[in-house]
Amino acid sequence: MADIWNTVVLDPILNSLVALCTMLANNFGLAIIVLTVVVRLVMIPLTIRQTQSTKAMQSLQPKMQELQKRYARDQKKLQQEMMKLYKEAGINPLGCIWPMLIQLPIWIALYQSIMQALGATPENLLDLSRHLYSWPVVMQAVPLNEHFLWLRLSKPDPNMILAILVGGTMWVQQKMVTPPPTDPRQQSMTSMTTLMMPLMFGMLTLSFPSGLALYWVVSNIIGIIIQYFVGGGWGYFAAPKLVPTQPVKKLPEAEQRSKAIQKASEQSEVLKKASGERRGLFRR
Amino acid sequence: MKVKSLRIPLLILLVSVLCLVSFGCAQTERQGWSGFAGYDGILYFGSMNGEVFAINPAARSQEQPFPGEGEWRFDKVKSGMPTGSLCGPVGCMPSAAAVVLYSTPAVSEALVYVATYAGESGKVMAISRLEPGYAEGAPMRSKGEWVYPGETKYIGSVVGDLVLDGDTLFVASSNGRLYAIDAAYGEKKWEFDTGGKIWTTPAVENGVVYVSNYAKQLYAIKDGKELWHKDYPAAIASSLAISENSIFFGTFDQNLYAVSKIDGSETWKFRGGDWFWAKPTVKDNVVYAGCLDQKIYALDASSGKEMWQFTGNGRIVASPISWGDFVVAISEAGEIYVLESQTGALQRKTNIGYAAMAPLYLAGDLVFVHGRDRTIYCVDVQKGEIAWKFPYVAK
Repeated sequence: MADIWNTVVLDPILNSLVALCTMLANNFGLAIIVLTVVVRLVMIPLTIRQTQSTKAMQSLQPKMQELQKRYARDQKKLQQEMMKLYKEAGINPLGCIWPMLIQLPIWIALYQSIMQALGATPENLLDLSRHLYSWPVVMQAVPLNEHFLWLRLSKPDPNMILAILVGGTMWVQQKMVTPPPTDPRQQSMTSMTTLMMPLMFGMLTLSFPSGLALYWVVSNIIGIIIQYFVGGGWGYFAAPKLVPTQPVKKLPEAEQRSKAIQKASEQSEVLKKASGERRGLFRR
Repeated sequence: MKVKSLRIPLLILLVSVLCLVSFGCAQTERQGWSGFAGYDGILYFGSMNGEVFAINPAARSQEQPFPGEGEWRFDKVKSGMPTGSLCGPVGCMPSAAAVVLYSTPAVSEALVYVATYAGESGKVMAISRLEPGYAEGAPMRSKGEWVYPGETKYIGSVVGDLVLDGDTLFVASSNGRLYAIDAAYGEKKWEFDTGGKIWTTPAVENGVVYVSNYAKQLYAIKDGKELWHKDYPAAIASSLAISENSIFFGTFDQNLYAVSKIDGSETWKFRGGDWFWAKPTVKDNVVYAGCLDQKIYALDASSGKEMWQFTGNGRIVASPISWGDFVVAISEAGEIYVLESQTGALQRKTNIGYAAMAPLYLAGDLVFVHGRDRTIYCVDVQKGEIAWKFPYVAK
């Protein structure tokens, strides 16, 4: 299992990093940045799909909240109604999670690559020979220079600057896609949810190699740029903190439901169309 | 609702952290690979627990309780090392850096010299050979013990072996500096900054110190002054071997070089299938070089022409040693080979049954191996069998 992982995932990423490092004047930090941009470019279809899927889910939120209120005491019925709503709108509720999960092996491989490539300990350096291809561009780069700006890429950033950057960029990215609460009572909960991930990743940055944190920062910045262009501007980041509670004029239930579904269906159509176009491209 | 809204991000976070920790941290733990220094029938080595041992092969062969005559265990190596910080999701707390011994000790009549690796920091300690003093981590001056640069001062960590030449101890540090220290008093005679990390062992001949760094350079230094330095296409992976007018070493671009001792110019180079990590051994104008491609090569020292090669069952990390008309080598998998020097024909092999990366030590017909299972193996290469073994950590 470990051999398959090494051959298919770790070794290609590791050797790409080392080769990039040679091409970029032995600058391992720049190599990480370039590799991150390449990885994010490769995953752009997934990212766009995730963005659109999230948007479609958000358009169903008012209706979801209503269902939750109505079936608060009947969880089984609530689940059925929610699934029905998703089905009618043509949305897969897990659609926005898969792209995130797919990135996980890349994080892991990148983390291992950084630690291996830098040969932080003598054992690591000795072990590196098992993973390197016999390309001159790779061989001549070893051992790599771990210094980049003020960082030592195999060690955590002692100045906390990277931790702040990781947390900050992640928070901006989340804020762009998280709708403000419609209910003042939910405000603190929403704020906490938006803050929790950036805080946790900021904390993790304190104990992970700064090379990995550099990947997170660059990846987040690219995510923000994609979100800006695909989602249409700064999204909810620029929106007021609290949206006043819904309309004075209440629509009849059936009309309200059909409007929400229609909106979500539209989003879902965009998604399907986009994936259809991609399939077409591949066929060609 | 509240719990549900948190569930997905929490799940993703949890999976991320678990995966990063379980897969990402699956790295080789640093444990060290100290070899042996021998004096007056006693062997001195750094254990994989960060301790220094003196063992008496005679007592070990009789399976006497440890410590026997002339034996001791010294665990004060860790004292006085700087505290780092261990950070996690709940904040940071101070933690002592793990002290590891990669460097093979050097030994004189009165003192055993050891150098430590503790992440970024290291120091050199002189320990009384007959019976360590060191009260509460401080050297016992009455026994001649000392610590360089001081009890609470550090140099960069040390990976290469210590070299004792007359009354001078040479130490190459990962901070790129080469230190010449008075072996009796622990005072610095001079230091030289090579400008690149040093993890290899310097070589000394006629007062000239040759040392390589990871900035692809080889230096010749005398009394703290540079005689010459030479840049190479790749960094030097192995320690240096000197014979006649040549210096032999392996590089990270899979070559074994022979260069002039006068100016570092290339005499020849030989391409292997991987790095030549182990220090080459030179005898009777033949270079015996272990390679990570699992082979031992015998090359003509003058021309670099291959005479023979032998393939083992694992990478060759430790240097081969010469034993009469034979060459003894060990694979990383723990198999010891006795090969004919002239032909490379396998005479016999012995498997210790465990991985080994530390340098071999030869005394008579006995070869001592420091296994990765924290056990010292004594192998009789004449008989091709394990004479005795000493697990220095009770299982």
